[in-house]
Amino acid sequence: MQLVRWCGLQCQRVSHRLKIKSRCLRVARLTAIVPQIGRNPIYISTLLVFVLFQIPTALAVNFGMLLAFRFLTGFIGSPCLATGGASIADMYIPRKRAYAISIWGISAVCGPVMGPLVGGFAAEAKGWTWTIWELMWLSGFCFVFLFFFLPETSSTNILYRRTRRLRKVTRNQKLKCEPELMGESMTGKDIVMMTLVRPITLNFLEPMVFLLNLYIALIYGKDWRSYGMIDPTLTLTSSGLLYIWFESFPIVFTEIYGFSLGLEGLAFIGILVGAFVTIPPYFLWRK
Amino acid sequence: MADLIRDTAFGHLVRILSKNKYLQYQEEKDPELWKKYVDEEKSGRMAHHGTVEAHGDDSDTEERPVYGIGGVRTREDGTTEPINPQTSKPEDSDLEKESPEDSEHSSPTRVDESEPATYNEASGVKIDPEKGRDLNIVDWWGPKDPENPLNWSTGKKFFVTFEICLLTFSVYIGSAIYSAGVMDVSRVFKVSEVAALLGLTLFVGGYAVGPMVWAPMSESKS
Repeated sequence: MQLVRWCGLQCQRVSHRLKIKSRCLRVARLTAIVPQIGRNPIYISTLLVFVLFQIPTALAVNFGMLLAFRFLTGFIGSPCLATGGASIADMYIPRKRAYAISIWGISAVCGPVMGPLVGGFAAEAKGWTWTIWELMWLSGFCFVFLFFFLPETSSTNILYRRTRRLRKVTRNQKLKCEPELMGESMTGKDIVMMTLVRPITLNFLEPMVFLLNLYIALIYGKDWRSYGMIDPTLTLTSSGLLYIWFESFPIVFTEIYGFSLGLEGLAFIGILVGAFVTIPPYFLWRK
Repeated sequence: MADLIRDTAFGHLVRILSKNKYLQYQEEKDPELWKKYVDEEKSGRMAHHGTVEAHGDDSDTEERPVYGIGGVRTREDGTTEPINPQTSKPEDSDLEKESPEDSEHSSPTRVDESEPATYNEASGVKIDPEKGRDLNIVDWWGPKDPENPLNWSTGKKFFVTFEICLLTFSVYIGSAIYSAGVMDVSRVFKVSEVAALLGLTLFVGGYAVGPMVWAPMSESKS
């Protein structure tokens, strides 16, 4: 019985890891719509739906409904994550990007680490629904904060909006910007090549670290050699190993050492400390 | 502060609701600023080559007269006459004298320079009839344009980075926060713990499947 249970868990973990891997490579295609629409509408609309979908998740009447809405919230949350790194890359020159991305990587590590921590105390005290409510409060606050204070970071979209304003103000239809021209000149075949063929050919490359470098490069679009950084925290985050390792924590801490659910969450802080510890040497090495 | 809010979702909402009365951009306050934003060099290349990229040697073959970028007109007899594009053309009438949209399809015979329609307004470069396009390319007005995200103040960059980190954190936490409640879920819904872990797996599965669907939708839109 124990063996069956262990096998089931292993299968789940492996599929988990594969999903993270496939996610990494498909996020690149979202960059195509950015010139016309920009990044902000993507963030705000998907985050709003993400927040609202937590309500049926927490109030699920049966198991199927819970799973369906968990899937949907993950689905809706994916554009946020995909374009997050690209937003950061928009703001910094290539030389400085590595520092900013590594800080962003810390927050990406913080997520899975603080999850059991925050959820652990909640589940212990009030049950599983409160883990979802806490997620909703946090993402709701994030939504309000971003609604009021997040500016558009995509330079192509800023230029495009400026051109539209100028065309409206001067009524001169000959004003155009480069992103518009590029959008016009891309044929359907180009788009297909860019979005379907490239990710698939890259999908067969190993190891994971090289894939990550390409993941970063694909999001930021151009000469990947100029970015040339492999942030250790980001590497760890995107690897399924992290999640697999997380699954061992209940076994080690709760069953063997007798931690309560909340205290088991505290055990994850070590990972966070590790992530922080890697940052200064990484910055020094970059110099 | 207004600069920060103006480009946010809230700022756009305010602009839409107030019909662009509040939180105006510079070019809305002063319509003549459009000249500052037009890149003469790129417009010239557009008029001559049909693309904005720099070609190796812009001063061409003996067939075509040498042209200058940035307000230099050429005549058919090859002499050049420097003209300052800012002062030579009265601003309003220029907007009326727009060349026909299909200037690039005009006849291959040379048109003489008394017809201003065949010269690109921004750069004064003659429009190539086969492949040139008469467009004024809008770009950053210089390397220090504050609208360019690369030129934002450090404080603004750090603030926006913090916001993105907060966003990433609050969405990523969604996966692991559920894992603490797995035992409770299996108790309440009377399923095994492995099945309850599906809540976690499917959430991450959603992350994986999402871009596969969002991307084609975005392509069909454009």
